[in-house]
Amino acid sequence: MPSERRLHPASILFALWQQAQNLLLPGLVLVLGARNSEWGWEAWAMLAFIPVAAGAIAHYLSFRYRYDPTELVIRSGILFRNERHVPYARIQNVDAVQSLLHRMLGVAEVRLETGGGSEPEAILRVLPVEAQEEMRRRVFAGAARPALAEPGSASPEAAERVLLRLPGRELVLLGLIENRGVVVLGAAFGLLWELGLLDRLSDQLFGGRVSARGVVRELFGALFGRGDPPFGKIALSLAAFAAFLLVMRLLSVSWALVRLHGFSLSAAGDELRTRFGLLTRVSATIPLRRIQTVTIHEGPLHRLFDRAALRVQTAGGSGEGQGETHREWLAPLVRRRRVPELLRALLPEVDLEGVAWQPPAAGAFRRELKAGVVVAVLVCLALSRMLGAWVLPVLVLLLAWSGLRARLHVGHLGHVLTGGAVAVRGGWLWRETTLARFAKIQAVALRASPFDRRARMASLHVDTAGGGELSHPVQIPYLEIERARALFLELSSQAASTSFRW
Amino acid sequence: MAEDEGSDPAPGPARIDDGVLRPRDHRSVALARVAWRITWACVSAAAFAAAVVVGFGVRPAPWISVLLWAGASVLSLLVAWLAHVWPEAEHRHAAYRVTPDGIEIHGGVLWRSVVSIPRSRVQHTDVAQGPLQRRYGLSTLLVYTAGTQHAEVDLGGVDQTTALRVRDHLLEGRSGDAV
Repeated sequence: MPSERRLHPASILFALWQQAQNLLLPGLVLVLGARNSEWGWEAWAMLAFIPVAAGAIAHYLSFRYRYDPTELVIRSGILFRNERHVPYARIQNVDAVQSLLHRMLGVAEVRLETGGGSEPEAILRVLPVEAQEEMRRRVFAGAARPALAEPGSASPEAAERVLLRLPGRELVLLGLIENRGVVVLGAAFGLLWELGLLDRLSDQLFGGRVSARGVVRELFGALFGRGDPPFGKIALSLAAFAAFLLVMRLLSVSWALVRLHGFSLSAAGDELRTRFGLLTRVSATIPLRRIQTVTIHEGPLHRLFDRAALRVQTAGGSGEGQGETHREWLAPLVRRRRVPELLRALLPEVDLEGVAWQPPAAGAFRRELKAGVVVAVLVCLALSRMLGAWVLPVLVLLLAWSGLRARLHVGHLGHVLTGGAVAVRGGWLWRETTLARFAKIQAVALRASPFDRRARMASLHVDTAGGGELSHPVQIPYLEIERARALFLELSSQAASTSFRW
Repeated sequence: MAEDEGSDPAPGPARIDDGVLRPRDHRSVALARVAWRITWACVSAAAFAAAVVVGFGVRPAPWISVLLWAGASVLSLLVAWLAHVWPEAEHRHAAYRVTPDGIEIHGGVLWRSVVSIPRSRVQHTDVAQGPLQRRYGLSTLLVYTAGTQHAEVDLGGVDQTTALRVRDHLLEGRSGDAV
């Protein structure tokens, strides 16, 4: 019987801290909001903290884990005993998160993710750093064992090779490109709102007389011949707006500098590791064969700076919320010419350079254009009363726009089967290219809308595990029906002839 | 999957995995009609009730009452027509094909779709039967995959024995450590 291990004693502290966080905001609201010093039920609710503390201690005392030959066994609970068996082969990622406090105590919160559900399969809060390293080694050594027959699976502890590092300069650029200022601002706003300070703050800042208030309304009034255009106010609003944008970008830059400080991506054997964070240090491990899809993002700003972002989907987690920041960012920012090199590290058999992208069917542009024209005409009809004689130039503009959009949109659509994978690309302003290996295809669907059938076309959808709501779907629109059928059969049989492993 | 299909001990005259496109059981049309008639009854009752309540309660101008009654009648007729036509159309386009490799499910009337699931990607299956389905001897085979959009794909309107045969075929010869 392998020996059982326990959590780090600091676990009690962190369990308490987590519960305290839940009570912190109500507590603060209570203190700040108690204007007439009336301590109601909220104060008594704080007593709930006592059982919480007892629970934290009980959790620490009862929590045990051990490494069996093929699975990790976790036992917990005093009254309600729970024994969880997690086979190594099912574990998708072992992520470690270290906040500042964790690092001071030399511990880490470890999350094990398996294919199912959006929640981690097990959270070990908290383990000593060495134990976390051991867990990572044991889990992936165990998982690699049945796969040893596969070509290319080197010894689990191969030398680590750094694929990407993001120095401060790149992080500043990343902050500018990825507008994450909203995240910071949203958090701050939420806190202020929660504390009920927002009203007081706005009163103090603006003295109840916001000078730029209603500028849009006045502008419209001026447009329709009521009153003079409020030029002064317009200038003021524009300046405020510009300042706001600038602040947002600055916030975004600082967010990137803190969150992704010292980002590194490295390959060791057949797994990838990412590490980043100034205050909260995150290290995530992704076994290569667990990668479901790889997506290359190229927004307009990315292209301006000749950069791209690389994301992967693994089957663990839903790809949203917490999970996103941990794993999805394989390369938050990378020079475009280095993308092929990174791709080779991820999918050695796929080579996107010099590949012949298949365009959509010839009628695709006309269909896209028609849709745009219909929308433009409907919009103009709806606004015709309001716009009066202006409706014609607006219509012309909208039509020109839809023509340009259709041309660019269809021009950037493409798909190709290459090196045991299907690749699709789309989007013209925010370009995305996604790759899915045949072995990761779960289902293939052929769909035809009434419009498709009229044009003798169909679209092809490839379903993989771990595609979140926001991830780029692997789908090929506007295919000639015969070609769609052929692709459908090809992909189905390719998927059937490969066996899927998590 | 390179698995030896060998001798098939499954009952029935022919193999299910012959790659022939099979229509769904025709009894599913009758079943769908029952469901549609219930919908029709509810929609008509609601529409006429609204016409009665407005007509006698609010007492609007006569032409509005007429319009209301006409609208309710048209709606009722439309749903009745759909109840008659739609199940038949649905059945015409609903089909499935079982091959040694997996299953292909066809469906949809206006928006048509074909979903193909390789056998090796089937996580687990359910054969479900509602009370109405039981009366018609039909059942629904639910196939679960690890995918996202097609995490659950259903093959409805097949008779119970066929559903079980398809299920057995999809699950047969799976080694425990396939995933």
